[in-house]
Amino acid sequence: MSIGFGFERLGIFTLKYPIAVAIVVFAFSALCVSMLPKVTMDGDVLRIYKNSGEEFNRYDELSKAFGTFENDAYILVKSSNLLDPKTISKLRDLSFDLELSSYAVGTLSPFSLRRPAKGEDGSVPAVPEDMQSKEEVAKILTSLRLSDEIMRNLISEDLSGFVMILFPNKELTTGSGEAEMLDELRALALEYSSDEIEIKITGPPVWKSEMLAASINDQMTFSIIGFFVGALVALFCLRSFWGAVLATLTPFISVLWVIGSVTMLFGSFTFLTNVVVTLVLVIAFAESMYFCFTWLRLWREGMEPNKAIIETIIRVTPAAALTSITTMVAFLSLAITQGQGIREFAFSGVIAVAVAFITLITFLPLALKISIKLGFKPPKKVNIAVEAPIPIAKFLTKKYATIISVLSLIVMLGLLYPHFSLKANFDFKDYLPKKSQALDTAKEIDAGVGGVAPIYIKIPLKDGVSSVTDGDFLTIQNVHKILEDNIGQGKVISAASFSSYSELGFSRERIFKAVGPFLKRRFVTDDGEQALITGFLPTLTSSNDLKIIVENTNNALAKANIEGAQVSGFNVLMAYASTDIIYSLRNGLMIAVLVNILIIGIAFRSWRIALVSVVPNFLPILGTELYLYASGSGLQLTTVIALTIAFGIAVDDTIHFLSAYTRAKNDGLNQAEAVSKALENVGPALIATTLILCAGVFVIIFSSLPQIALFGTLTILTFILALLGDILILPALLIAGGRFFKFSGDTKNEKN
Amino acid sequence: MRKTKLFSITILPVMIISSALISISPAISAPENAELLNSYIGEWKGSGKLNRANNTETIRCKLSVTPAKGSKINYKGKCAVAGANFSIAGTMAYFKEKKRYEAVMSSSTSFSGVAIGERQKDSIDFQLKDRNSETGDRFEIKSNIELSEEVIGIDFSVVNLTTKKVISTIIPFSK
Repeated sequence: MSIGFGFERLGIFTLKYPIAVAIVVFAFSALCVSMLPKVTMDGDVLRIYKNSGEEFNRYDELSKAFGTFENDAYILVKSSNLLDPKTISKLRDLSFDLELSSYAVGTLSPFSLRRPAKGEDGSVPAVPEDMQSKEEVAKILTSLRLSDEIMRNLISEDLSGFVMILFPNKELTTGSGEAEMLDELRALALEYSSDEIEIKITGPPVWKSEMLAASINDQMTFSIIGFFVGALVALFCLRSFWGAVLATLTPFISVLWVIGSVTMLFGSFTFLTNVVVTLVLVIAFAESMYFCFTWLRLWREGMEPNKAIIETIIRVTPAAALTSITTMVAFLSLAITQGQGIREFAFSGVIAVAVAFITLITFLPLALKISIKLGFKPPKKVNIAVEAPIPIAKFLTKKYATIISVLSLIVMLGLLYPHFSLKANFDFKDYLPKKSQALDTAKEIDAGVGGVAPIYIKIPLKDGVSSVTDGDFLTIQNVHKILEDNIGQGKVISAASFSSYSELGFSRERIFKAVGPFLKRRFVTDDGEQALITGFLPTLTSSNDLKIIVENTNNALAKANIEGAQVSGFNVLMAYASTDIIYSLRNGLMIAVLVNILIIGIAFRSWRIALVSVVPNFLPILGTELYLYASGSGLQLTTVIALTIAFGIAVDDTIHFLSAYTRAKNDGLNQAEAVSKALENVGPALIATTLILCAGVFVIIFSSLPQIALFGTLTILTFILALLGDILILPALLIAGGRFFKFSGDTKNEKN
Repeated sequence: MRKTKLFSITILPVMIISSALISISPAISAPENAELLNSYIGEWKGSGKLNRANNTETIRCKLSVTPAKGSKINYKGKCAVAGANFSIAGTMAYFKEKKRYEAVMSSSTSFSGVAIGERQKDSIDFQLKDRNSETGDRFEIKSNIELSEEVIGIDFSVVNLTTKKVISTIIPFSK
């Protein structure tokens, strides 16, 4: 059995039955092309957190009891002439149109608030309709701000603007519905905007749509540019136009197959599964380059080109199979993490890696055979630039093997400090485009009314009375005060907010009737079993600050003996679940690295080989973590994914090098000669691959999404570290190991 | 707990929208009536004042009418007052043998069922009696509809037969 556990036989099968395989390849490609119009990206962030643990369950229960909040749209209205009764009248019409939107189940604004009518049954709008003067408008709005905590959070202190909140219908805003709702809101904003009235829309639906638009745009732009730049660098390295085309075609087909497969299996991409496309692009590019480099080298050395394809399959694909297995294991290790999002990411990753391997051993050999028939000639020599570093590497590893080895071990041990010091960090704004208008509007809301990002406390009520008993009301008041003490006076709303009406002598029952059933359900469930206390935080509260608020609130609730109280909210869910996911991903990756080192040992039938692969496999991860530590970026979702890709590439490079090394050893070369031979055979391909990947990924640094830009920086760093690990440190370790490694490389099935 | 006001408001959009749809020109034969349902296809909007004993406030409605199978039409409407909105959807057809319009409807309120409209000379009178299942109060709902050019005018009132309180509104709908 080879190091590829026999999976390379599929390549031999391809060459034995080229027409049958070509039909299958063509049919599957056609199927995947037919899937392209159906490709969508699900912007539902909750899908990522689904079943991820206690925070999700709390939020889910909260949503079921009181409605959903993660889709609320905020409409910021500003006017230099807000106090003019005509302006107020026009904005009231806007509030009616918002209420009449097909996508709205309700709205919250100064115009939606009702108060008990004086001296009669029923209620009247809290903002009267017949105001005649600016003074009257100012008096009403000021009075509302002072007497009503909800209004205090919606109307700006200088009375120059207010916030209107639209609660969308969840069923109608799934899928494309959310974008349609935003279109309708934008049309309304345009209709009511004038020289005197400025209307801006923000909130989670806008942020999601901006994130989606930016990431889809980035994906499209960077994939195209990445392919183009990658092909250009392949042309530079191979010095052959058709050679570059051949090397680029495989990743292209891999990406097509992965997009088609994921769409067929999962229906749509998520923010996470979207990443596997990039991953497969990187791996397929690398494998394709190794394959093409080896094939061209064998052909240049005099082997008949068709025979060279077979020989390349025998030499390269076992290592490619092993790389695929190790990468799949890395992904599978993530599947044990709780959360639908991560599981989908894990299985998408496994599928993607398998697809990339199948493309390599089916499509690429067929493409090479066709190119031979079409008269393709190999370039006389690859570019000097990709071969030039090899003699330097050979010189350094031969002369300073011990120094390099010891230094690399010391550095690796030293890098464990930043590794263990890194803290998970999640800030929603990091995921929004740099020039996000919605983010600017959110900042304006924060500046104007102190923010409208909600945090909730759900409490059970003992008596279960719809209009709330005095005992339960006291509990609500206590929790209301606890939250207020933690986030600020006037920043909390609940059933206890209407004290001004109680002081006027209205009963609780009348007050609840007056505010209407929709708003009441945001405070107390219809059955009177549960109550909700809502706090408003600045939209741009960091996850660390949010966690401090949650912890302090929980402590205060415990101290006050409020039983069964649960602090929750979409922001809270994201802050806690995201960091849990980040740690899970990182831990899963570290376990995967260890498991994969074991697999390498089994594949090469040498624990020594497994041991030597520790340094070049860990170094790119630890080195990238040092950058994260030094730059203060911390561990973020994107950075952990970048580390996963780093590992994929590092292990890929290492396996190809070790494969070449063991072949040379089996041919009877001594330790230094075998290392030198491996460097000669694999080194240029490693350098060319790194150049192509760095060039392809370089454009990502210019992404408008900070996370994607950071992802680009990190992957380039890891590609370079992986290359250094494999052409400098790994050879040095093998040479310095001397006698220790002299028995390694007895993989008899491998031949040069 | 009495829910007079709430029930009155919740029944309003149902009746207003039904009335708007039934306001077909009367001086036409049955087949023409059926065909004329199609002339209601489109987006309608209306705004008026809701009058109660001691106060008045704005009510605003919208109605979307789309073609359905045969000579039927589908409709979807929504009305809003400050702090609340109510929606209704259903299908409407003209029944030649009964010489009347019937609208099957479901709403976001407790109301659902079949509304019936009958022609009276130059306008259509619409009447419905219903009982609030929660309070037991009985209601009488009357409306008078006039169609002129592109505007449907609805004069509408709800009387709580138990408390004798009245809520009324006039809403002109236009495309």
